[in-house]
Amino acid sequence: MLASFSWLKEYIGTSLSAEDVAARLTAQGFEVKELHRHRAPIAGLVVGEILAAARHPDADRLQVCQVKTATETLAIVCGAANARAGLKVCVATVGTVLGPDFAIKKSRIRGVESHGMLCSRAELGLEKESAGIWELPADAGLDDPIPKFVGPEEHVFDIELTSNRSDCLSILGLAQELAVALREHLAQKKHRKFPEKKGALSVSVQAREKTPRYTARLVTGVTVAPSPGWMQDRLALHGLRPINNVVDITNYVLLEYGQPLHAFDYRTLAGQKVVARDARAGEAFDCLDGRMLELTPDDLVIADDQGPVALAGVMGGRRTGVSEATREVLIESACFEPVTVRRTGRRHKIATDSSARFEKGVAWDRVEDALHYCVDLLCEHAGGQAASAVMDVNTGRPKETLVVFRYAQVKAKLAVEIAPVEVNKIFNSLGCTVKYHDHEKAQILIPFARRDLKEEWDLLEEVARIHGYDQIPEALPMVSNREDRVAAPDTRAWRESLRGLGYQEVMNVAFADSRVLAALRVDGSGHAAVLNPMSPDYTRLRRDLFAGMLQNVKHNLEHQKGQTLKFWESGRVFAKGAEPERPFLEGRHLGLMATGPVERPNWTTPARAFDFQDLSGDMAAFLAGLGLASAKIEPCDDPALSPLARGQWTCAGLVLGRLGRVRDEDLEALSVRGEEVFFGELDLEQVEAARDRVGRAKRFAAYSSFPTVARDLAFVMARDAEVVAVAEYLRKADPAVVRAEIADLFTGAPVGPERKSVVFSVEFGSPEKTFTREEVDAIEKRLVDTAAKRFNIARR
Amino acid sequence: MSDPNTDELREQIQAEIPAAPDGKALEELRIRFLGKKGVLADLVSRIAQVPPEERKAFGKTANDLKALAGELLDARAGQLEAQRRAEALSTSKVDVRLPGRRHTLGTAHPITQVRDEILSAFNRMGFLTVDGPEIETDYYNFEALNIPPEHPARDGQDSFYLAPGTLLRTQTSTVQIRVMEQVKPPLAIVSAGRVFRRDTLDATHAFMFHQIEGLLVAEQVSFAHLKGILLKVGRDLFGAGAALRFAPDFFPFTEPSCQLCVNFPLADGRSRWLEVLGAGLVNPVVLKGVGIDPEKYSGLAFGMGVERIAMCRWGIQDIRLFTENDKRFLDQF
Repeated sequence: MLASFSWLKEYIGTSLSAEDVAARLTAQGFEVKELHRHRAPIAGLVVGEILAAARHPDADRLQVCQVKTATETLAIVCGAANARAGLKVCVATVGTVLGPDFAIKKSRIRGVESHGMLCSRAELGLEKESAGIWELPADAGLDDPIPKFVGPEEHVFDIELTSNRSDCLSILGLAQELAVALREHLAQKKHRKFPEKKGALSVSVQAREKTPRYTARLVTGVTVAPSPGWMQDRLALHGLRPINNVVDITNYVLLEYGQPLHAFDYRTLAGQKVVARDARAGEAFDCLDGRMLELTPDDLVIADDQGPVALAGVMGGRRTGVSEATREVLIESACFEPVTVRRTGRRHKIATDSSARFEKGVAWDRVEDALHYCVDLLCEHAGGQAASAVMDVNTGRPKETLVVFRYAQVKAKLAVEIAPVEVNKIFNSLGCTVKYHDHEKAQILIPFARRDLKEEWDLLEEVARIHGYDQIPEALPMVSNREDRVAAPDTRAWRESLRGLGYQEVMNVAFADSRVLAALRVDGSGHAAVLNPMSPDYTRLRRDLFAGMLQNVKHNLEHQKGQTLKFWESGRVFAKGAEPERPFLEGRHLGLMATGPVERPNWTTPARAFDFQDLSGDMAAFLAGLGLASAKIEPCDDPALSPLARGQWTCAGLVLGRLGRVRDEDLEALSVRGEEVFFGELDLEQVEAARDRVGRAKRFAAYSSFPTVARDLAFVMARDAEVVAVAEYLRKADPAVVRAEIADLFTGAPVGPERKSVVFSVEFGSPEKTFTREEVDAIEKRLVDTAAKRFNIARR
Repeated sequence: MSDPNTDELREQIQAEIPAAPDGKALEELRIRFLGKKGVLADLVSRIAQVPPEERKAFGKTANDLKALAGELLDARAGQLEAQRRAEALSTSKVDVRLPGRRHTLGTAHPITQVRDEILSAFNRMGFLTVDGPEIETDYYNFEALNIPPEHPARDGQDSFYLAPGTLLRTQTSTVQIRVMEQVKPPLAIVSAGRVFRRDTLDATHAFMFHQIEGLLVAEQVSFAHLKGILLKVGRDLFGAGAALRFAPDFFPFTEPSCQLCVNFPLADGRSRWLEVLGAGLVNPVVLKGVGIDPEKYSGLAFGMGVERIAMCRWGIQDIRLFTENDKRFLDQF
């Protein structure tokens, strides 16, 4: 919402600077985002008169103007269509500086010398956009200083209104707030109220629910022309483009009172009547913006005998709009039901200054005021005469809102002491009326403009706001929870372990990119889909973290090939549910993806590419950190992973997740070339369930004080033999074994291509004594023999 | 009295041991002189052949020779070790300035870091961290928060719908309702999570971002408590000397409502007030809706955007960087 300081000052006398006023407005909840300062740059600007304007010999759109100033006649090339002989203009002579990089120089434009520039108001910072050069009044003297035509410096507050304060979508509303903020008197502006004339207009309301109040009056004898300069300036400062006096006046009243008005050309209204009614299904409406709309019965229209002439509260129609030929105008000032206007605006994708105000509701009692003000301005500035009776069709004055306010709430909720008499003053200053009060409570009558004040706590906020938030003390309360069972699981510890393992956290959007899913040939039928996506690429929610993380790898490898990438992500994943009572499922996954050299190559360590064992080792370490050292990998046939290396994590009878190599065809599909990429994903809910099953409580286990003996046991076995099972067996087969690990593994010479050689490192020990060599020999032999028999393998 | 054998032996010991060229030769000499089957053991074994009156002297001589050999062996070993260390200094000295073998620690995403920091600040005061779903119903996302259908506050929160009445949450305030339905006051919770709005992606808008939400419901909670808590956290996050101010604001589920602004310096020497947080006393309508008596209990609630705070903190100009996941970005945090 834009509001100029000068307009506000018509209601409030203040000597404060614009900056101070901005600070006060902000402190009262009307945040001034920007304070615009509009003024003309002065030095070098002079009045000129165009003596002649001829087409530029080499450019259709340019004119070469002979411009007479008080001292000389200049040839100036100008591109504005409105440059014409006889026009008084503002000339920036050579040497004028209009901005940091905008100095006027003598120049040659398409071969013609130009000695200055004819300025538009936008170029002078007087408005945002200009249609052409600034046309000075015809009686401007060549000696007149330019500031004479600019007016004084203008400050415009750009205020961010909260959505509850639609009453302040008006100068009047803001002025009232400012008056309260500055503890100043709010001046009452008087406009003439012309006596009613004979002659009722044909105004009727069929859709009564949607049209609580419809007022109208006829103004005759109007001459449509440009509105006065000061009005044009003011509209431009507030972001509205001046059009003609009639339209400008309706906009001016809208800005000042917050009441949207509409002016119909009375003679073009078929049957000289207006009816507020529901649109008919499929009814066409020729909109002022040039569009042809197809209406629905939910839309409210103003119609004449021929059809709709306005989409009520949103936009007028072309057929009955004000034109230069208009002589009689019917001014509408109404109150339309907010939800209707809101729905219509959304349905037809039209947002106007008018609909913005109706959507939030206009004040019942300001409707007629605005009508009178508009008629007054039309009589003053468009040569009109107030004709007809003042038509007022309404459903009756709405019930007034009365709120009971308990004074004790001020101390209890705001922790400040304010005497009841001061509280009452605050309410009065806001336009409320204290109908009744005793020492405990008051009954407050809410003005129609303040639709946001409905309950005691709404009034409490007004007291806090006006008293000042900075006046409320600071205190720290006792913070406690009756129970902690709703606490979220703590993820900090395991996030730290991933950091220790060298993984970098990434974050991807919750949507699965349709283009990537298509490239990866993922079936999207099980994905939860969005009914109203913003783009065709983001229509489904991700089911897993794979595609997003692969995109991250691709992005980084495009920037630097061959670099090490180790990423992790944890986040929600979604799917369609099978049961009707749970149509959508939401889970939490952890993903790891890595590629590239394991470490930066060093002169003592050769470079080695990250491989499956690195990933499985990292994931095993991660799970061990969560108390799941017993988690195992089983081969699996997950089609999303490469058949060369894929498995799933299991623990305590639960499947925790998967891990493997990314398929070559997927890398190719995303143009990730020359790299092996590995991916692992855990379902964190399954991980938590496994932790529950395994048991989270730890128990100390005593260990032996006698030294252990380590031996290497080498076996030869078939190439596809399950080495892990052998290690597992060695670990458990004899109580003397305290540790058994796979220490070496190879295929090929000297055991041959069909077999593999495996060395297990086995540690023997006892809680009671140190084993002698002979004892270890005996245990080892027993172990080797039984293992050889059981797995059909041979000692090497 | 001297025995030509023992004299010769003494000479050998005195000459050969100090001349041993290296540890291996020295070890050989030790075995030769002091070994179980060494020269001196052999000498001692011959004591039986010595006439009884000479045995005492013979024994002393043999023991002296043993002691001498032992001393010389130790001395020479010491010399050789000192020599080896001296040589190593010139041949094996490590250039300590060379970089070590790199093990790189991972990184936490900047959003996670800011989120953790904010949650910790509230946790220290006694707020419990809780969680809630991202797929929500219209009831939890809007209605229970005093935002009925057609309420203008819905305009700023254009939602992604999965089905009529089911949407991706537009605010983490949903968690407030879910917690108040489950546990009775006093309660003090904070929750961090993702929210979704149909905003067109640009440098300062994303259709997915993170919020942190907090709620305290107890007896006699006042606006002064809201100020106390938020100013403490504000100083935790932005420094003890941070310029902070409250201004009125509007949220359907709090009344009175406020925003907390922080004064951030700009590059050109000026500064700008930036809203970092919205808050207020819980609207009694919301409390009634979850069966909490607003005459007995009152509440305060607050919410903030994590991206916005991270952007201010680190001077990040473009919100899209957070989900681009460029390593050059991630490496900086």
